[in-house]
Amino acid sequence: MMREVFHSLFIRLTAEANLIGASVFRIAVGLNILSIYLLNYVQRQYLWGPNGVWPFEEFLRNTWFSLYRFSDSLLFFETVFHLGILATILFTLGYRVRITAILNLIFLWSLHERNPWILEGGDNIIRIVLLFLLFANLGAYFGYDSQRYWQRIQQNSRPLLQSFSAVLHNFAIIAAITQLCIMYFITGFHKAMGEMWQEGVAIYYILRTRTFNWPGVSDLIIQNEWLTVLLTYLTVIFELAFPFLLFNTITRRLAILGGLVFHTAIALFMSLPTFQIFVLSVYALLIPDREYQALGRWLQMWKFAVTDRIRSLIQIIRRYPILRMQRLLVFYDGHCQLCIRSVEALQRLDFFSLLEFVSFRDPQVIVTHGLNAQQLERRMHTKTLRTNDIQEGIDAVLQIAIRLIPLWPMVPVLFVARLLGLGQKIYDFIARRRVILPSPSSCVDGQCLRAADTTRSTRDHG
Amino acid sequence: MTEETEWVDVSESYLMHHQQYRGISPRSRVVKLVTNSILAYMFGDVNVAMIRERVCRDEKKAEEPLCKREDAVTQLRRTQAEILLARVASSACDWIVGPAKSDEVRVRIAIHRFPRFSERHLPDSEGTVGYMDLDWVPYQKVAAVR
Repeated sequence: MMREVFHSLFIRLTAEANLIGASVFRIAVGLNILSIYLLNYVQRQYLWGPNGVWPFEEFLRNTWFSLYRFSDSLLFFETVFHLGILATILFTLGYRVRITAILNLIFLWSLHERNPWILEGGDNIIRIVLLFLLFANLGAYFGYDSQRYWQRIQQNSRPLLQSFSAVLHNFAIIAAITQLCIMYFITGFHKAMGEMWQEGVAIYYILRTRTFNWPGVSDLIIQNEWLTVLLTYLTVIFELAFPFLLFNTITRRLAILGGLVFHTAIALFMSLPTFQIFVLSVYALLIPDREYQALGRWLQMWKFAVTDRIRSLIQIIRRYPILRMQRLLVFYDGHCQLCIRSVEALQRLDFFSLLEFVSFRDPQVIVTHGLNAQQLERRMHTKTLRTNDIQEGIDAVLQIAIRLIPLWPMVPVLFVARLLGLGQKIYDFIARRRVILPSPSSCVDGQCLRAADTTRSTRDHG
Repeated sequence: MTEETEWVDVSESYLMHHQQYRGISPRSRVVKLVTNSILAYMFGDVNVAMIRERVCRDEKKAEEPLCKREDAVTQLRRTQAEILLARVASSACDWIVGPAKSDEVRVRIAIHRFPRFSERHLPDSEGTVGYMDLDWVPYQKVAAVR
């Protein structure tokens, strides 16, 4: 019996758990750190530079480790700052994650230490969690090296090392989740002892403070006594209960759902997006792989169901006579690669099959439709099947755009351009510069036929 | 000849930008900087402040350095906050009077006490405003806020 228990424990410990969650965490955290770098890019010298708001001498006196310590030159600062961005990008992409995770943390830690006066709660928690997760496998999914990782697992070349690595991974994940629980419990505990939280009015004082106030929106909450009290108590209850909710599958899912709502609301109402994304990224670790896979299957099914529904709806709409009357014949240059690619793109957007594309290089086309070969060389033509109206150039483009829903935003622009006369000029400018590569079928003994020649030869044959 | 300007609300523009973009703004961390330094100037370290709140409820301990806010940690934080606020002001003076044109700067902390919960229907203007003036300090060259 004991042997079986130990064996089962050994199997569980030596198999890496929550690998998808760890990879989702990597991407969410990576993007959030990247947003800190990029959002404050214009402000970097003020916030962290050698001549920044927190004096370099004070920084040296109060910090024991930061890459920014090594020099007070602007060039050095810029180099380290940009290397930090690079490390974060590589980490997010999952490139050599074991190494880039360390580099990312070193650069992030250095940035935090350079100016600790601008840190939020989220910065602190993510620093600790990233430290734990240096021992975790964050690159098994959605990363540059993911495929290589699974190949290595299949080869099973170093089983002992893999088992040891798996044990470290699992403990790192547990440590990160424990850190999240500690954070919730301690903040909840402190709040529960606070006078304003006990009286149920803390949310009022928070949301009325300028830093956390959303003008015009916060008032909707804080002017409502019941809502203010309810939200204040719910916050404390959620934070205190969170660690205990994780022990059961159903309550865990409820905790995750509650946390998503809770942190999204804080991000939105209190203008603290970075903080909340950091906390929510740790949530990714709370979901086991089998639940992610089930979610993936459900989303796939949902996608198929929706796509099917849309397809059948389109089929019904296509049959409407009023729509059939709008069908358009488009004469394009089949020797122009740009034109061929454009036709392919337009066909994908033609949900209601309103367009029929015909290359005017086809010898029969010009004769059948009574078109002018020289004009076709110059401009694309369209023919409305109901009225036999022929349009060319920008007018033809406009006719196409009217029939394709995704291009509707462009219709007013095209219309104005056509009215101003600019549209036709731009069209002609592009059309004149298109590269024409005749197809081998229209070339005989190294001589290739142009449209005009094609017409003539067709007539001769006719 | 040295001229003294009127008070200029430095943090208002940072706050407005922060509010307008719901925290997704390059000014949001600047708001955090100003808020943190003011809190540090007034209360010292957050953790020490929490201990003080508990310990100093006992009237017998009123004369202890911790309760008089004269403990080492609070003093250090206060000094650091003064340095920071002076630099925030110096940087602000660059766009108020022109780059490196100031000789000395002075910080005034305005504390707005908005109406309490029982008077929540009243506008912000019905609250009270108190001021804390810091000493004049030499202007320092600091990178500009963008």
